Amino acid sequence: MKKIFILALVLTSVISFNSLVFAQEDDQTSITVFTKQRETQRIQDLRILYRDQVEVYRESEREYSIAKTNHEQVQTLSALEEAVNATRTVMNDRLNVMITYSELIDAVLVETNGIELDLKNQTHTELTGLINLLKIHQENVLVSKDRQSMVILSDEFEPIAAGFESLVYKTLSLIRIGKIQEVHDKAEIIELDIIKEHELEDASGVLTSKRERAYKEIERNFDSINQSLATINEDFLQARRDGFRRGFFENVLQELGPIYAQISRSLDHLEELIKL
Amino acid sequence: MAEQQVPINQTQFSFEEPIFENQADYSEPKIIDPEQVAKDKKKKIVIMAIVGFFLVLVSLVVLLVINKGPEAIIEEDLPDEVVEKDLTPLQKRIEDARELLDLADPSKQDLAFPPIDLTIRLDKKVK
Repeated sequence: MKKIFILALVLTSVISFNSLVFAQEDDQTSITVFTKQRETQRIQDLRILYRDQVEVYRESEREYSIAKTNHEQVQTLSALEEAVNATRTVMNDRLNVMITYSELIDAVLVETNGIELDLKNQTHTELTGLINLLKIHQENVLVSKDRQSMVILSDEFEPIAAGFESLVYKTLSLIRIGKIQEVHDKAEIIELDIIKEHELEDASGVLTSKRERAYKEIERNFDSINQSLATINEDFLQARRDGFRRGFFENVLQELGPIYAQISRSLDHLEELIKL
Repeated sequence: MAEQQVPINQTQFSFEEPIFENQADYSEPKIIDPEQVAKDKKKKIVIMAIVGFFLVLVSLVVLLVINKGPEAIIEEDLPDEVVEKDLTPLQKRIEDARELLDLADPSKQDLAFPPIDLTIRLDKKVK
């Protein structure tokens, strides 16, 4: 009996120890990272909806590939029927993704400051038009039943897809440029306010000249950023004439890299300036 | 006659002492009872079953926890006043600009082009 008691005691201790260790680990893994609310509820909802729709699309694309291959191999009427149905489903799911994605980038565009208002409004209108076009096309997809209508729908979709791609890259470029521009604008205003605050202080001559040198350095950095942003805006205007492609958007991101680093440095300088 | 050596190190002596073993039994020798032997055997089986059960239980708990894996860290929003440190208004604005800049990082991929096939069609295009 004594042995049983000791064994039970040991095992209970082992289980309790395990629970304790895992409870501690749970505490560590569930640490939450707190961030400020930056996105509207609508954007957050659209992000979730978009992610779910992409999952659905992936599955229907897989089924479409299987049905198409099967039809090409067996060439039976039932295989054709299945292929037509699978094509209709994947086309519909793809349109769901495209519509939600367009709504998402439109919502982000509207919320992004630092974009020229006319350009923002124009792009917003274009996106609204595109969403309507996609919805109309989707209605046609849902009522199509046979092979011939699938061919017609695929043909009709080609220009829609080209327009979608172009408008997406245009919007994404605007959002990226706008976000950087917004921070730069804020940094410039902060610098002016720091100068105003310094002017109210009764500082010594040495400190004043030290601050003057700091202002010059910060403004030199700002000028450089302004020039780089002007170059990107010129490229953007050029792309409006030539069309927006993936390559253009990638170039924008590349050009924004050094600007991002410069703005980060400007903010460091401003932080130093406050302490002077 | 050589004298029996007494261990000098008492700690070692206590370690070497058999634990959980009965001390020398000076009582009268027991008579082996076949029924008692059978009972002891049964007892052993029961003990082994209990030990086995506990071991399986512990393994299951461990496996469940391992399979569960670390939970995804969910970023939650918190009211601004909790996040903010003791900063001057200008420092707060710089901090705010930094957060915005972090969101504007061009190396971070956000809102990537949808992973969809824009060329789906059942039949090849007739030119």
